[in-house]
Amino acid sequence: MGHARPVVRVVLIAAALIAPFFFTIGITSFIALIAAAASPSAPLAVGIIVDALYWTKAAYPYPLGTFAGALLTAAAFMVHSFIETRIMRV
Amino acid sequence: MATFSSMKKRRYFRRNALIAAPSFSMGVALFTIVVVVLGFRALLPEPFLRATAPLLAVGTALSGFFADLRAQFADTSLLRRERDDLMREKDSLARENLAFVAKIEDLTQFLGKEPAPPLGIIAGILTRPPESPYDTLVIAAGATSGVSPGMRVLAPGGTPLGFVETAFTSIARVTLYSAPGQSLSAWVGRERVAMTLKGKGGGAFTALVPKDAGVVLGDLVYVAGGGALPVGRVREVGTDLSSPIATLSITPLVNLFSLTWVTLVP
Repeated sequence: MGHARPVVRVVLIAAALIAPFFFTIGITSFIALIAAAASPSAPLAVGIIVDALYWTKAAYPYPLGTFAGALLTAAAFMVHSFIETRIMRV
Repeated sequence: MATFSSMKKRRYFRRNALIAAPSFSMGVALFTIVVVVLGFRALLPEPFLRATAPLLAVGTALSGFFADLRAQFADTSLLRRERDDLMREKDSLARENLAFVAKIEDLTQFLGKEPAPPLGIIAGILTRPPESPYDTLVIAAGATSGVSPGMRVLAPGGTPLGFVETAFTSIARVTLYSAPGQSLSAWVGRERVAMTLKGKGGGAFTALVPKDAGVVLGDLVYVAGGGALPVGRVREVGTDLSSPIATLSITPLVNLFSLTWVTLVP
């Protein structure tokens, strides 16, 4: 996706950033996962926005969305670096 | 190499010397957006909620639209049977309710007039689960309507749902009793066995009771507040041969996912 048209990447990332306002957490997570292909930082950004909107300390001991986003982002970075390495080798 | 007009032309985007790769620019842009959102939320929580309230209301409406759309593809015979069962249960409950009202009137005449119940504040819900991944509600009523932190939040019918955690000028945030970490004193079954409800998330609760308390599937769970208010029903009784304690899984009577308004009382 790093070589995809910038418009597609921007649309995917914008959709992921506005998903927490309009969709359930399941659909938001799915869109964030797809946006990770466009930018590995997208899941972390989405997780932080979800927690900024909905998290309070009384509702959950820690901001679960941020942690989940950080995990997905770390996984996306690993996948991206693996794919780029493979392309270099080819 | 010869080039032909039919060949696809490549476009090369000019890149800044400081920011070498497009993916790095996207990361910087995302980082900036996140810092702005977090700063807004931390420093100006009420304007943040007020600014996002219309978007949250649209999201809640969209969720209802998709639920209706899904229902279009549901098995209509199953839906019809479910509707008929619900209509029968509703008629039976209405008759039972009339009997209770008559009983209360007789008792009131015998014992004296009971004090009027406190008036509540009715508030519309801007966002609720499952849009919110946590057991929280954002409601369209705040300090100007008389809402204050600590007020109890009731569903239609008087079922306790949670409490007001933060109240801004025109918006408030509610934490539900079913949020993980929350607990509530309750009773279960006809024997009114005392227990503590622990929030499990998604509107559900767990509780521990003695194994020989006689709690069975389907028993109602009550909390205090103007008598015994039913809040849930026992869905599963988990027992272990080596333990004298049984673990109850309790589902709420109120469907959180379709709430549109709540009542707030002191």
